[in-house]
Order: sequence, then structure tokens, then C-alpha cells
Amino acid sequence: MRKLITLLAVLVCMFLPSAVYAESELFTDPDTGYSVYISDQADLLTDGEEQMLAEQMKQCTQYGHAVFATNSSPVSSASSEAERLYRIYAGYESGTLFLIDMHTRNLYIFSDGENYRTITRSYAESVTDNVYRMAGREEYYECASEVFSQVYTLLEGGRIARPMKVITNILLSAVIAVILNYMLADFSRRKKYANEAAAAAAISTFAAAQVLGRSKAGTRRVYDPPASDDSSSGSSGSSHSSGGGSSSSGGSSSGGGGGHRF
Amino acid sequence: MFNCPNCGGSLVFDIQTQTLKCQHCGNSMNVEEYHTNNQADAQTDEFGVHTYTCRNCGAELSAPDAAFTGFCSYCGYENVMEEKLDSMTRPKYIIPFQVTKEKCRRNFKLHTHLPYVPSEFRNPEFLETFRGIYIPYWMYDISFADPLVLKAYKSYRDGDYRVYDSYTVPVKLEGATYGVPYDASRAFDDSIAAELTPFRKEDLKEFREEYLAGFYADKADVGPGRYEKDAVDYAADVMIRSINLQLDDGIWVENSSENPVSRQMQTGVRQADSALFPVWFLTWRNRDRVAYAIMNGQTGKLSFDVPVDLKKIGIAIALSTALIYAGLDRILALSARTAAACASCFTVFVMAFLKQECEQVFIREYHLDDRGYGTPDKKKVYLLERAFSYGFCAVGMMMLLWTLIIQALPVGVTAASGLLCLILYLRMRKQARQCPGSFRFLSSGIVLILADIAGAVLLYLDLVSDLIYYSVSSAILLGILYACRSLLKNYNLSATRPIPSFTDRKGGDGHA
Repeated sequence: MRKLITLLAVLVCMFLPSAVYAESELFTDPDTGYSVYISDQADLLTDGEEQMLAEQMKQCTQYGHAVFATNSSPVSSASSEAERLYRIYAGYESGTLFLIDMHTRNLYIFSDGENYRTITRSYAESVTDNVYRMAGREEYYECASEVFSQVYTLLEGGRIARPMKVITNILLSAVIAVILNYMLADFSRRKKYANEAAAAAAISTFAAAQVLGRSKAGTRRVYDPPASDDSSSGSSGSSHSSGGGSSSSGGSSSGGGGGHRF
Repeated sequence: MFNCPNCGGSLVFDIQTQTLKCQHCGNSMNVEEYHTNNQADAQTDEFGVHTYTCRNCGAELSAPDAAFTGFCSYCGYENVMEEKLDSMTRPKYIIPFQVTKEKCRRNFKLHTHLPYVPSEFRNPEFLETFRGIYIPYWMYDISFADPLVLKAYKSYRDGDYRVYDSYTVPVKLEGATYGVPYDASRAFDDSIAAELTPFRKEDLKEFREEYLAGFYADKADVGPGRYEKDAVDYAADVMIRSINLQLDDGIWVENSSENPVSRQMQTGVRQADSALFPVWFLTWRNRDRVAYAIMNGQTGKLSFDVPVDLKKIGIAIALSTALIYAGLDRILALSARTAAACASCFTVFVMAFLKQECEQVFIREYHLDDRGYGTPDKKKVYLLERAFSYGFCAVGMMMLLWTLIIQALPVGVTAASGLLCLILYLRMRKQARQCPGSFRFLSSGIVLILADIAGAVLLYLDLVSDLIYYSVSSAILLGILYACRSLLKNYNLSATRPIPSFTDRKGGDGHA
């Protein structure tokens, strides 16, 4: 009986979210099969804004699912909530989710599959860096619109503006360049002393040593079985235990992203 | 001083043919032959020379003839040499020059390929100023009659076990080493002498002043007592390493110099013979600093103080920056907080390098690596300090990798960087105060620490705006660049030497 209840609970958990969010699918690309989802749980957008946003998100479905979600319920972190929502809408398929989490006041972009190759964690952070001020001014539609516009630009192979990162990278490059050049100069001035053998060879040495006796000072025994062709002993045992041990992880940790507070 | 028997012209020692050659008629003759025919004063302990004393630094160089031209080889100043007729104690041995000036210049050019070596080092006219000088050395003969107790080992298999038996083996060691060399000139830095080592004994000849014809000789001003203990210790190490004992039942005696568990020293210097060893000497002067390029005149081995041309290194840094940025821009896009933490990790590297530079300048300034000045041997202390700096660099590198890969705890990373910088600064401060370039060392250290503290505080406040974090990263990186500028400026202090002063110079054992 207890097992049955547990099974029912698991099934409810599995299907409940899709039941709740299924209605938010707004468009499916007939060629790629990828869809646009909007789940405005925090009610940050008007219906008109949702429609306009969905129109804009359509272009991203050439590459994967496009999901926009908002949340105002208590969650442990924006990143875990973004991943949870992504799995609900897109499973492990290619796509990008943009979450505005009003509870933690964080923006987060989560991508998976082919999209994650382009929208990497650093790019996700760059995009949220570029829009967090809009969210701070409560311009949520503009914020989401800009996010999907920049995501599409990146998916198309374009570049997005990252002015401060350019400055930081230039300074960082300059520091690395100075350090490398200094190390090169420092290496070039290192004294190259002759090795001991060469120095000793330049000196005439005559030595005669006479052993006067010996006394045993101690014994050390180290377990070191001789090598054998028989593979049944020693390390061969460990190879059996490892087989298939990590296969359960599947693709669950393939995706990722980045975000920003606002 | 040495005249051609044919035409009366002056003879010089020709390195290629190892003979005396007349500069006027081209006649060549064997040194021994010439010496035998002109040995009127050969049995005396001294021989006449022209001694040239530098009015600026007090250095003295002697030559058998009055042909001194130009500058002082030790301080680089020109037209300051004062000539007097003098005598020089006859050394016992000499290694005549084997490397010609032409070969010396060619060899040297191979070492000036780095892009920021000052252009002057490639100037043929400047390279003409390589000067052949014989440097006085002491060659110690050391005898041993030491009862030693050495460690010995035997290894064998017992079933699944390998057994190591250790033994102590009393050994009576008798032997001798001949010709352990130490330079006898205070003007000649020990670090240079060590780098030019070894001089091969095959070319060692009984001294004949004819070998000096066309060259200069430095006078010994460090007595044989100064390096006696060093020579004995070194010879003992060489001696123990030369032991190769295997007892009849498979027991091996370890021949490491660290081996002796007890040693009753009955080792002693039997005698110390004076000798002259050949070097090619090039001096580069920049204001109150000099850099030496000194080549072993027998083997061609080079000891080179490598200063940098700040303009050239500036160009190299600009080009490297562009290249690194091109690569970095493709692979690295740090978040604002990570960028600040990442920048702070670099402060540790730069602070460690500053400390290292400061120590180098301090050692050079006070001749702490030259036993000829009577300074105690502190090589181990300096090696430990260097290892300490490298250890901090390793910690900085780990923090940098943590920041780039894990991207967590930016406040902790920045605070830790500040703490490491503070520790390095406190260890550097005392030496920095006594060094030239002390303001640059100290101000750079303070800038780095303050940058880290500011970064840690702002990261701890956890503000929303990226602009603040990027500004902090930029401020830290600009602070690092300021420190790097000081580092490079002070690099030339540690790569060069202060103008020497030998005004208190005396012959023989004047400083022993």
C-alpha cells in the first residue's frame, strides 16, 4: 500500500507541472519541432506584451525551444528553478530559457543541447549583464525582448556588446603580457651554473677508501608482490567494480547558464 | 716588453696559434722558446708590469707593456686610468686564452637574441671593447685522512616483500684533490666566477709572463685564507661522491655528500697555488649602474648581466597585449564579480615578483653573494626566500584557477590575495628600505594591498551594479600595472650592479 502511494505521488509530480504549464505553449516550428513557451507566473507582462514577445521568440525556434518564465514563489535559487522549469518545458532538448525570478530578484538564462554550445555560461552572464538595469526599472517586457534578441544574435553567429568586459579583458591582457615578458626577461638572466659532475671533473681527485667493518642499523620491509601474468589478483578486481557505475547520470547535467541580480 | 728577436717589434700572444707573434713582421715563436732565451729575471718572485689604477673606482689592471687604452673595465668610465710602473707577484700557473676575440664576439651575439636587450649589445663597435683579462685564482690542494662512518644499504626480496637493510660502515678515507679553484679578486664577483666554472686543467701551464703579452691581468686582493673552508667543504663533497664501494655481500655504500653520519675532519689545505685564468670582459654602463658580460677565455662559457631596454620591452608588452587580448576575447568573458576576484589573484604574482626583485637588488647592492667581500654564506637563506615567493605564486595560481573554473567565493579570494600580499610586503619591507628604488618597491606594494582591500570590501557589500565591480577590477588591474612598471624599472637595478669601489683595495690578503 505504502509503495502504491509513493508511486502515485511520483506520477502526480511528473505530470502535474506539465498539466499546469502545458497551456503556455504558444508556437511550434513545423520544421524543427521546437516551441515557444511563456509562463508568466509572476504576472509581469500584459497579454499584449506576451503576444509580442512570443512573436519575437519564434525566430529562436530555428535552433531550439525558447522559454520565458517568471516566478514569485519561494525557491532555493534562480539557477535551480531555471533548470527545473527548463526540464519541464524542453526536457533535454536544445533550447534557452530566460527566467525573471522575483523572489530572489535574479535574472537567469539556462540553455541546453546545441544552444548551450553557443549560449555558454559566460554569454548568458553577458546578456543578463546587458539587461539587468531594465529589470531594475521594472521594464520586464523590454528586458525579455532584449534577452531573446541578443540570444538570437548569438545563435545566428553574431556578436553582442560587452563594453566593460572589453575594458577588463584589455587590462587583464596587459597584466598577463607584462608578467609573461617579465618572466621571459627573468628567465634569460638566470645564472647557468655548470653541473656538479662537470665542475668536479675539472678537479684532480685521488681517493682510497678502506672499509673497517659494518653494523646493521635497521630493516624495512615493503609489501611489493612480484609481477605476474595471472590477472585474477591485485588490480584486476577493481576494474570489475567500476563498470557502468556512472551511467545513471545520463545527460542531466549537460546544460547550464548564468544570470544577474536586479 | 716582449720584443721580436727579428725586428724588435712588440710581440703579443696569438690565441689561434698559441705562440708569440710579432705585430710588425709577423714572426711567430713558441712561448717556452722565447722564455728560455730571455729568462734573466724569470727566477724572481715578482715581475715588472705597468699598473693602471682607475681614478673613479680604484680598480687596478696590470699589463706587461704600456698599451692601456680607453676605459676602466670594472666601472666603465673612460680616460680615468692612472699609470705607474709596478711589480706583480708571479703566479704559479696560467691557463692561456683559447677563445679568440672574434669567437668571443660571435658567441656573445648568440646570447643577445632577446628582443629587449639594449641595442648597444649588438653594436659591433661596442663589442670591440671586449677586453682580455687574466683573473687571479687560488687553486687549493687538499688532503684527506678522514675516518668516516657512512650509510650503506642492501636490498633483497623475501616472498611478497622487498626488504631494505640499512648499515653503518666505518671507512678510512685517504686521498687528495688538486686544484679546487676560487677567484682571488674582490672585483670579480663570486656569482660570475661560479657561472664561468669550470676551467679545464688540461690547458693549465706553468706561468710565463709572455702569456700576458697583449692582455691585462687583475691583481689578487683576496688572500688564500678567505675561501679555505669553502674549498675544504667542496673538496670533501667531491671526494665522498667519488667513493664507489660495494661490499662483497651486496651492500652498497651510498656516495652522496649528504651521507656521512659522522666525520672527524682531518682534512686540510696542503697548499694554495696562485693562478691566472683568462676571461673576456665587456662593460656596459648606464648612469650609476654597470652590467658585465664575461666569457670564460678557455671554454667560451658566458656570464651575462642582462639589462632590458625599457622602450623595447614596452613595445613587446604592447604587442603581447594585443595578441593575448585577441585570444582572451574568444575564450574569456568574466562576470563582473569574477573579474574583480581574478584581478586580485594577479596582485599576488606581482607582489611575489617585487619581493624577489627587491632581494636581488639588495644582494647585488651589498655584495651578499660575494664571499670575496667577507660576507657570510647565506645561499640557503636566499634560496628559502625564493622558494617562499614561488610558494605564494603557486597559491595565487590555484586561487586564479579556482576563480576561473569554480567562480565561487570572490570575497574570500580577494581577501586572501590581500593577506598574501601583506605577508609578502612585510617580508620585503626591511630590505626595500635599504635598496635603491625603495620608493617604487614600497609604493607598489601598498597600492597592491589597498587594491585588494578595496576589492574585498566592495565584493562583501554585494552591490547590484556591475559598473562598480568592473570599476574595481579596472582599479585593481591599473594598480597591478603601476606595480609592474615599478617591477620593470627596478628589474634593471637587479640585472645590473652598482659602480664598484675599490679605493680601499690592497694586494695579497687585504680583505681576509
